[in-house]
Parts: sequence; structure tokens; C-alpha cells
Amino acid sequence: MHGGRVAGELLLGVALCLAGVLLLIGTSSITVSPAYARVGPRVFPFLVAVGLIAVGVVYAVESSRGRRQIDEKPATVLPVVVICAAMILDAFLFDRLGFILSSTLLFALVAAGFGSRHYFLNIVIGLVLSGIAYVVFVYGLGLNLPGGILAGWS
Amino acid sequence: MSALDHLLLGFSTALTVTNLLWSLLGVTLGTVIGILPGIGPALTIALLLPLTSHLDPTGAFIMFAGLYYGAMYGSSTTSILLNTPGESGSIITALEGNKMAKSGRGAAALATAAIGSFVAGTIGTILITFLAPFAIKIALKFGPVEYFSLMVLAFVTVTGLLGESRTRGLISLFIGLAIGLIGIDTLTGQARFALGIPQLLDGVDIVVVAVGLFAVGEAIYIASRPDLAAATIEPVKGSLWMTAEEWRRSWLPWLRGTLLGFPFGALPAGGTEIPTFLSYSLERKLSKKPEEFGRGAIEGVAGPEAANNAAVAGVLVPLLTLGLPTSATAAIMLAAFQQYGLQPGPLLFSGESELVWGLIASLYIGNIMLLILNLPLVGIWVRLLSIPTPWLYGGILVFSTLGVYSLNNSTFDLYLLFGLGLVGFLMRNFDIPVAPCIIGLILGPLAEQQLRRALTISQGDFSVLVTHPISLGFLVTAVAVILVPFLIRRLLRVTVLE
Repeated sequence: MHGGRVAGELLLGVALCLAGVLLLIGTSSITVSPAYARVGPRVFPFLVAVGLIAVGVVYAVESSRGRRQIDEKPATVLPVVVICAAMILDAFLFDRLGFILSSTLLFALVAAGFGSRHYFLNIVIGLVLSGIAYVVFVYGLGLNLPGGILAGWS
Repeated sequence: MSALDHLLLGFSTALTVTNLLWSLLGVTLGTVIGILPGIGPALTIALLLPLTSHLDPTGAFIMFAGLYYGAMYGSSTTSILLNTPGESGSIITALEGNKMAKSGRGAAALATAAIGSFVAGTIGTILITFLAPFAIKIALKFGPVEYFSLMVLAFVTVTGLLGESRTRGLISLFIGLAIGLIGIDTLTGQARFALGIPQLLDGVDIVVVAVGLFAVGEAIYIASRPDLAAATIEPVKGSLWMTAEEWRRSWLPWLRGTLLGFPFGALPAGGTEIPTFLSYSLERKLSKKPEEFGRGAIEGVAGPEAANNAAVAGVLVPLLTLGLPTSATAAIMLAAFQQYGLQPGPLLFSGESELVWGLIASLYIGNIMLLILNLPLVGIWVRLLSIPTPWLYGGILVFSTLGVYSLNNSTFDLYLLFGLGLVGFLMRNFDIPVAPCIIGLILGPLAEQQLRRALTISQGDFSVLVTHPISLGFLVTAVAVILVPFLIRRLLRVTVLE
């Protein structure tokens, strides 16, 4: 476990450096008109990129020295997968099914991800919750939420 | 006009029926979200931003202010009864308050926390009232150079003054600064780092980042750690009317906590954690019965809770007078000002004095409402603690997607929300704090503007940053904040080795 954590921290340090390098490359591709030659749109991104690389290096060095105390219990993977799937599915279905149905699905899946076994009850609660939210925000506050396949009914 | 005249004007704004209702809505929402684990004031205000964009700004800010104070009252209730502090300022309250609840003195702990919050909140608001005009006079002397250096100082202090976590704080800050670069450069109109995606030209909205990191990241993290979810709720036992002895033991810690907490918030000195810890150790030293600490000493709730609330009030001074947020919630409040096209600072006080002083006046009113909501009515809110975790997080995510979608009516933001949620989950796993990222995201573009203005005036000469005395002072302080703890550790190690 200890080794895994240190490897993860090293990886994060490397990822930060990589992000900094990408930022540097992106910065060099910003065109600078002569009027701004001295203090143009490149200065600040350059500073941020250098900062990212610096903290990445410091972090990687610190973690390889292993000075941190680690008392982690291993994370369970399945709930993470379920909730991620729920979020992506929701983004995909939001316009297609409409707010109420996609949110019902999101609610039920997230609840299942948190270990709730009352699948049918969760769907009912999700439906009631998103139905109320739809009415309050669309008719009460004038928000624009997609009606989706239920839109024809109202 | 003196501060008192301004305040009277503010009360005439805040005491209208509509604004009183906004305040009541704000403090009630604040109490509720403070009590519910998993939602904080930063997340709630972020979610409310897209929903309130066409409201009258004065009403909206009165509501946000109520929410801001209310969340602090509510979170102490959760710490005492559930031993899961909602935010870092309540860790100490949980320590001592939960012990009190376990030994059947929960009601007294809730009472001293609520009254302490009221005392600290009211004194803090009085200090805001009289310090703000003074801070504005200083702010008027600042040019772009000073503002930039002050922001650098704020970056350093918010990344955490406490040893080991500093690198992680800086990581968070730079992630925020990097995200803040995305979009059209305001000075030249060029697109930067938008990767050719049209939706990114306006930049990544702070609402998406805050909701992604706080709500989605937190939800995934809690779900991945089933052992975190189980906690026992202590029933409220005892009388909410404190005994004479409890009053006697509470009032001095309230005042001392307030005096400790306020400067930490008002000077950008890194949040509510440090003053609550300081207040706790101070009360333990001064107590006649130090052996009670760790087993439910009322001073250990009264002092830190007052310190927490006073720091929260203090944060409003740099936010309103300088436009400088020093906490995640303050950063979102700054985003709220920007949404209405307002820029906090001296000009806000002269141009929008009705709004600003109405907001400050509503803090006095909100404090009184909160005392009533959190003492006689605390039994109602405690029931919220029994909402099952799966439904709580299911609901949080439904409202998160609703708020984020409403920003631009675009599902692109929902994918972005998910991506940032993953980032938040990773940050949580590596114990990287979220607040510096939010502050970096909102302050980064402002710091860049000030830097470029400063450099344009100086014709590209960076030395202005150190030749202006005020600016030099800020930068020296910033360097000291980074180096001093490091040097102390070095010195300690050397002496130990010898």
C-alpha cells in the first residue's frame, strides 16, 4: 500500500511537470503583436507554467523521500465507476431525455453507487425530486431546462 | 458621511420587507446547508449563481450574506452532534463539543456555540462597519503594482501557512491559475489555451470548477470510502438555557476568540483553521480546570467557535474593500459580484453604497435571525442529519447538474463538470486542498491584469515591484511566509543532529 501511494504521488508530480511543459508549448504559440512586445499575453502564462513545473518537481522529490505519514484504507473501486458512469450518462441524455428523466436516472444510479439497495424507491424519489425542481425552476424562476420526451405533455 | 450614517442608510435598505425575506431565506438555507454534511457555503452560493442571475443584486447579496453567516452556525451543530466537521474551522468544535454531547451536555454545547457565534458575528460586523471606510482609504493609495503584490501575498497565505501541506496548497493554486488562463485574453482579445473549442473561449466558469471540485469530487470520494459514511448522531440532551456557571465560563472565551479570529480573516492570513487552534490552546492554558479539556470543556467550544465566526466576518473586509478573496466562499462571492458587473473595492462603496451598506446592515439582522433559528428551533434542523447518505448525494448531484447546465444551457459544461469532478476526486485522494484552486482561478486573471498594467506603465521594467515600498513590503512578507517555517525546521534539525 505504501509503495502504491508513493508511486501515485510521483506520478502526480510528473503529471504536473508535463502539464507545465504543455502550457509552455501553448504559451510559445500565442502570437504577440509588436504593440504588446514588452508585456504581452505570454508573460503570465509563462510564469504559471514555470510554477507548475516547479511544484511538480518539489512534490515528486518530497514524495520519493517518503516523509509523509500514510494511514489510508484502500478505496473501493465499484462506487467510483458507477458514479462516473452516472455523470457521463447524464451529460449524454440531458438534452435527449430531458431534465426530469435524466436526473431521475442520475439520482437512482448515484444512490446505488452509495450502496442503497432500494432501487425502485430511489427511482420514485428521484422522479419526485427532479419533477419538483423542474416545476420550481422552469415555472417559478424562468429557467430554461430541456423538457425532452416529456415536453409534449405539458 | 461617517460610518454610522452609512450604516443607517444600509438599515433603511435592509429593513424593507422584500430584503428581510431575502435575508431570512439566506440564513435558513445557510443553516440547512451548514448542517447537511457534504455541502458548504462555497458550493451553495456557486449553485445559486446561475439561478439568481436575473434577480435584483441587492436582494441577491443580502441572501448570500445570510447564507455565508448561516453556514457557520449550522456547521457547528453538525460537529457537535455528529463529530464530522463540515469545514476546517469546525474541527476543534467537533473535538470538544462532541465529547459534551456524548456526556449528555449537547444542548449546552449547542447553546454556547450559537451564542458565541452571535457574539463574534455581531462584534465582527461592528468591526467591518468601522474598518471598511479606513481600509478603503488605504486601498485608494494602491496602484496596479501594489495590487499585484498584494495578490501574490494572498496566493502565498491561502496555500497554507502550516508546514507539510504547503506544497500541496501550491499545487492546488497552480491548477487554479492554469485553468484561469483558458479563454480570451481581456487585454488583446486573443484566444489562449482554448484548444479550438468554442465553448472554452469564454473561459471555464468558476461555478463549474467549484461544483466539480466540491460536489462531484466529494461525492465520488465519499462513495469510494464506505467507512467514512457511518457516524452516530448524538441526541440533544440537557437544557438549552445555559446555567449561570456555563455563562460564566463562556463569556470570556467568546470575547477572546473573537479578538483572535477577526484579524486572521481581515488580514489575508490563511483562513479559519489557525485562529480556532490558537483559541483552543489559549483557553486550555487559561482554564482553571485544564484536565477537562479533551473530555468536554465548554471553554473549548465557546472560544474556537467564536474565533471561527469572527474570522469568517473578517474575510469580508478585504473582499469588500480590496476585492481580495481569502477563502473559497469569498472567491465565489467575488464571482457573484462579477456576474452583476460589479467590482468590489473603493469604487463599489462610492458607486453602489446602497448595496454594500445594505449588505453590511443585513449581517446584523441575519445574526439575530440565526440566533433564533439555531437555539429554539435547533430540533427541526437536527432531523436533517438523518437523511440517508445515498439520497443526500443523489440530490446534491441532481442540483449540481441543474445549476451548471443553467449557466450556458449547454451540456458541454456537464462533461466539463464531470472532468473537474475527477480532478477533485484525485485531489481529495492526495489530500490536496481545494480552496487555493478556487482562489487562484478567480484571482489569477485579475493578478495578470494588474501585472500587465503595472508593466505597461513601467515600460516592461519588473523592478517596479520592488522599488515601490508598499509592494516591496507585501512581497517580502510573502517570501517570509514561505521561507520562515522551512528555515525553522532546518534550524531545529541542525540542533537535533548536534
